[in-house]
Amino acid sequence: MFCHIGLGRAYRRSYEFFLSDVITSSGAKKRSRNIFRVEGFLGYPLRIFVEEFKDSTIHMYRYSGRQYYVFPEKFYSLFVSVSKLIYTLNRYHRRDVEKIFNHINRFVELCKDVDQCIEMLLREVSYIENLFVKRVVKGRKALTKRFRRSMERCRDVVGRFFPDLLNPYIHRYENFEELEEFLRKFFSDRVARSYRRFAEIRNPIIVARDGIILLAKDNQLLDNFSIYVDDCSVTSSYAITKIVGVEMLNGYVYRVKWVAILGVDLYTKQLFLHYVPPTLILRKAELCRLWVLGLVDDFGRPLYEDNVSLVEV
Amino acid sequence: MNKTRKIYRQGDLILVEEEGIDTNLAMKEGDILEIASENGNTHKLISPVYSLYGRRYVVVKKPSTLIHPQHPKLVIEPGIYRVEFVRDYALNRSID
Repeated sequence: MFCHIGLGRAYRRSYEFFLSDVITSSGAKKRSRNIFRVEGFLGYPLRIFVEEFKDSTIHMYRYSGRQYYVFPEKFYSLFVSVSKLIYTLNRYHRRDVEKIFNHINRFVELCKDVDQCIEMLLREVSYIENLFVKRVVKGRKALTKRFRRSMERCRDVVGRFFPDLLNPYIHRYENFEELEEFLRKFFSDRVARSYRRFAEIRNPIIVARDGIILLAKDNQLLDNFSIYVDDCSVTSSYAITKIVGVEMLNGYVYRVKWVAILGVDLYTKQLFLHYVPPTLILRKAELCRLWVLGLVDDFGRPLYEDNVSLVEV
Repeated sequence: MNKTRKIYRQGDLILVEEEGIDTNLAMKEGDILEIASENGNTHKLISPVYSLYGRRYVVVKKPSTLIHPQHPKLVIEPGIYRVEFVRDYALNRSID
């Protein structure tokens, strides 16, 4: 078997490599086995490795906008390992292509032969994955710590305005049709339908009418689910809290399910709950409120260029 | 210096001041803005209402009062205002 690798043009044509039993261009034309593709903008490191081992090339040809090089079979493992490293670095460096390429440029200088290079690549992938996991765990710990501190800070506001939040009424449902039917008792058809759709993805969710109701599926364990109050604000006309529904793992935040503003209108004494985009998770409650009013975008940037004078009651 | 855009909010109803709206192109809906809240009460403003490209506008010619049984009155300064409602990520659209 031979390993064919086709180098595309950055941002225009993906890179691909595969195994074939022929060395000619019919390998590429017949779309042989185990095709592995790397997006064009990330493929540059493969070109570096091809250059590094160009002496081992058996054949080369052009086909369908790519320059193909044919190598012995063991190069297939090399290119698979390089691709794994590319995608691992892509996650680790948060898609910063320059950092990925610099990392691989430094790495390729240490490669002497194919077998040694594969071994080093696998070790590097595992090392970067470990770093990535450590970073994620560190982030989860920091987020959990932040939520716990914020809960303490807002404890009085929650106790005074939203005592139900700490121990909400839980409504269990068997299926989503039943949930929608239940929601119709409190909300219009359209709102009930929208909450149902939201619950299908973000389950469990909460809704607020005269009180706060946690909606969870019949068989759903709530041991790993927590609602944190991340921020709060009280004015003469309203009291609001920014709440976050999260799934926990080993005592730390594992997945953010939703972010919402829970408030009470001090004129009407009416509770309100508005979900906001998860992109606002680290923002203040007041900024989330401005999103609800349509004054900022999903990232908290002002939507109007003019100065805004907001009068509200 | 940028002009100041006036925005009024009474409960779930938001009025956003807009410039450059030609009401000659718009369809007149009526002479009173009436928006029913989810709890059955109504926001009311006596000013002509127009609709243009799927949006509603209210033209306030002299200072007028927006009323709602549960909220304090709100005096709206003259101008053309786009009628909006609070947003909700779960409901995907404004609540109407």
